[in-house]
Amino acid sequence: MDKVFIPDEILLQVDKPARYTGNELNMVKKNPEDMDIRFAFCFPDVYEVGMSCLGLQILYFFLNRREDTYCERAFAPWTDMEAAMREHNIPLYTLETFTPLKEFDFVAFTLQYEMCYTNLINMLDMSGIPIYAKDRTEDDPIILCGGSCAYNPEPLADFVDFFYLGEGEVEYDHILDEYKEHKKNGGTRDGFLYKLLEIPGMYVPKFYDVEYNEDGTIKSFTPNTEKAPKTIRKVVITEMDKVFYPEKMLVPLIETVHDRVTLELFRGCIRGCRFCQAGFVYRPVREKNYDTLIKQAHSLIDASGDDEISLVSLSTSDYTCFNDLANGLLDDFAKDKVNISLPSLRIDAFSLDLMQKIQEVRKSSLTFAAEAGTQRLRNVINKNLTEDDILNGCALAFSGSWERVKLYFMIGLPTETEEDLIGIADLSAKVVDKYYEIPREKKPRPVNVVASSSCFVPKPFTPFQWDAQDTYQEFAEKAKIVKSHIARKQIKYNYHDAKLSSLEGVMARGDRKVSAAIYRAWEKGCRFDSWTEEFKFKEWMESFEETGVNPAFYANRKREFDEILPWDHISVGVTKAFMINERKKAEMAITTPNCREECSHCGAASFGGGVCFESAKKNKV
Amino acid sequence: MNQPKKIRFKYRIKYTKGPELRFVSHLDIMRVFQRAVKRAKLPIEYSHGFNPHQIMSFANPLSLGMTSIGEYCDVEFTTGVDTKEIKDRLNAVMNDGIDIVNVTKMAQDAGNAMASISACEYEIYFNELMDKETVGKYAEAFFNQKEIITMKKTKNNYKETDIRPDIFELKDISDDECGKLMVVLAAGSIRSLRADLVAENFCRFAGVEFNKYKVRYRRNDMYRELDGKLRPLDEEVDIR
Repeated sequence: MDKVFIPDEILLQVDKPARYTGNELNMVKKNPEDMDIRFAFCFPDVYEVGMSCLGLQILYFFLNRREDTYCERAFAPWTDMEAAMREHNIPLYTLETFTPLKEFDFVAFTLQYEMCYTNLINMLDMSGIPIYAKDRTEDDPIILCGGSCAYNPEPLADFVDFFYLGEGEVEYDHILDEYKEHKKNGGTRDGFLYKLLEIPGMYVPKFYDVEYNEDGTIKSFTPNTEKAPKTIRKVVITEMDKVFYPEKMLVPLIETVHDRVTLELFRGCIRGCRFCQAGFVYRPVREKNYDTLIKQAHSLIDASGDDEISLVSLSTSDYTCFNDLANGLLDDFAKDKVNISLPSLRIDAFSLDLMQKIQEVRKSSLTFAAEAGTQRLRNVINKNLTEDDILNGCALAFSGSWERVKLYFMIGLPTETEEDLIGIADLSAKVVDKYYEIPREKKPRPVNVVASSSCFVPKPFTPFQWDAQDTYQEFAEKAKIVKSHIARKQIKYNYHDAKLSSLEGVMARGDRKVSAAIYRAWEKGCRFDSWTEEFKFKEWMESFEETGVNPAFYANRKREFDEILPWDHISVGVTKAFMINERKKAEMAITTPNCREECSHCGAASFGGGVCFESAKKNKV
Repeated sequence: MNQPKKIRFKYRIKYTKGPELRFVSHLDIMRVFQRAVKRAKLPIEYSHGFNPHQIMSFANPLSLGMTSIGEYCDVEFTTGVDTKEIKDRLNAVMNDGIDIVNVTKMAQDAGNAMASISACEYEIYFNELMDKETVGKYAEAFFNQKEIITMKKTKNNYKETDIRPDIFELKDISDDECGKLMVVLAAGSIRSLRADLVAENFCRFAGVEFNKYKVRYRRNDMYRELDGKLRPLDEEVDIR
């Protein structure tokens, strides 16, 4: 087995060569010769983004805890490195041992966002692995995908051998044990893929056939073998205090997007915001207890020497012992100058006391996700947050001597009217007014409000999965309306590129037919689509045209409730009936209580753990 | 009333940078040290500003792609720690590719590594560009030149400069592997000369086409001037 050699000539000429040389702190070293299974964990984006992914850190150490398996990493080489590698005929390799990906048993990709799909194809191509699953032979690795975008696997179904739906800690041991046995007995690829049908959460696209109606909608989606389950249900961990969590994390040698250790407080979210895919696909909420977290925080800091610990979860402050935990960590770590960062704090749970303590260590900027400009629209999306919550939160922040506030909004939400758009400008102005209500001596600097709007993308497994997305022209018009109503000089208004969001809209709800357009876009040189400077909208539009894929059919079309959706064969545990009911309540601007206030019977209780059983437990005690 | 002068616990750390970390920049190596000091739980002193940072400074940055067996970093602790203990604790937690070779307690008034430096010693490996015969043939003659005029990069453009005065020493250390030179070059804020510029000029002198990607470099040590002599940065730093 030949190791890949990268000449100095390449490394001295590319940007940030340490992206390509590995050897980070805590990197796992094993002798490949002694391994039964070689597993390449690939992140279809640049190193700095991939290394900030918590899922990568967890699965890397989870898989490497097995003595028979070596999990190694690969990332998408930036365009300069790709050009150099192609020129020198260097295949894509792993950072641990510089082994070409083609020599691995498994090549796994984590899909964190839709706009990475061309990178996945490019990484396969750079490895010399056939891009289409049907073209692979016994010499090729098995290609699998997991991560949040795997819940609508169809746009990638032609390229991927199987999808893992759910949390990695549940079934990987099972898969690898089966594989090892299978390999020992000289089994074939197909035999192994067939075997996978017995394992919960595994979707093997080749065992399913799709038929379409004349209008392009799905007529039927059926297993073509008896063993394939009609519905594939995601797998989740129920005991969060018992599940594996790494005691150390890989510490990159170069600066990455999130340059800190991450502590995962819980999975899932109690809120049920109707636009948020994560809020539904990760149900139910399952927490780790206080002692587990404190212990994990200490071991992670000890093993990394990082000066920041990030408390991550979908809505961090919904952690039941949040104040105790934050205070406990601050008490433990302040003397060592370790900062606590809280990336997803809800404004209504805002604790001035806590924020000031954090500020003593180091000051960061404050961000509030208001999402919509009016109360009506916030009710439509079930963002259970009132204008008073927002303004009181800002007032607290201002009196705590913060003078920079970021407000996040979405435009193009279902039922949105001009009034809602103007509401974004109005709410931002009210935040400025709030600042001027505090006494002059307490506000040494002028206030600075940044209002940002992103473009709404309807996602599978949300109550808005049937909705039409605005076209990018409509988004641009709407942003213009917001902008024209921003009068105060203290407010800066930013809006995102709508073209990228409209493409994301196609990928998010695409079916198998979309894969042809993705392949063509890759052929035309599309890579790193989520990077503004690399995004090639024109090439994407040509690709749709040339492959007969109509992007509007996927992005801008309203579906009926009885249409067969491309992801209907997958279950995240939340019933379709619940989604339909939520969509109807949205139309009437009726909110749904969060999971701790009251169970709304979404279906996730069937997993048998988490918040759905918290009150039952309490009642027993 | 005069306040008694605060005693400062300053240490100079000498370390190596191996091939594993050749492509990690100077700035990133600084972060590697900041984290290592925390993992080692050494009592690092922090600045007292709004954004406290570790009191730590480095000598001359090493160019990307070079290895070294003589890098220096100065740190300040809140209390005194035995130098062997500092070395052992850092080595126990340090990234692969960095080895702490020596820790010296610094005298109260010793200047920091960056300000003290006046020369660096390098080994230049010409690999396939030049064998030991070629280097042997030209080394002495090259060093014996009165002046070596070359284009040297200044802040904004290139300028014709005589680099000969900045080459303090030059020796042929070739072996059967390839042609090699040992050079001691001026370094510091007033005069400094890069090893690759010497390699390029030596190639030109020997009539060999220079290829910057084929030549490798290792820094051997950094020096300061004491009593008219060049001495490694950690020598006598505990006295003066």
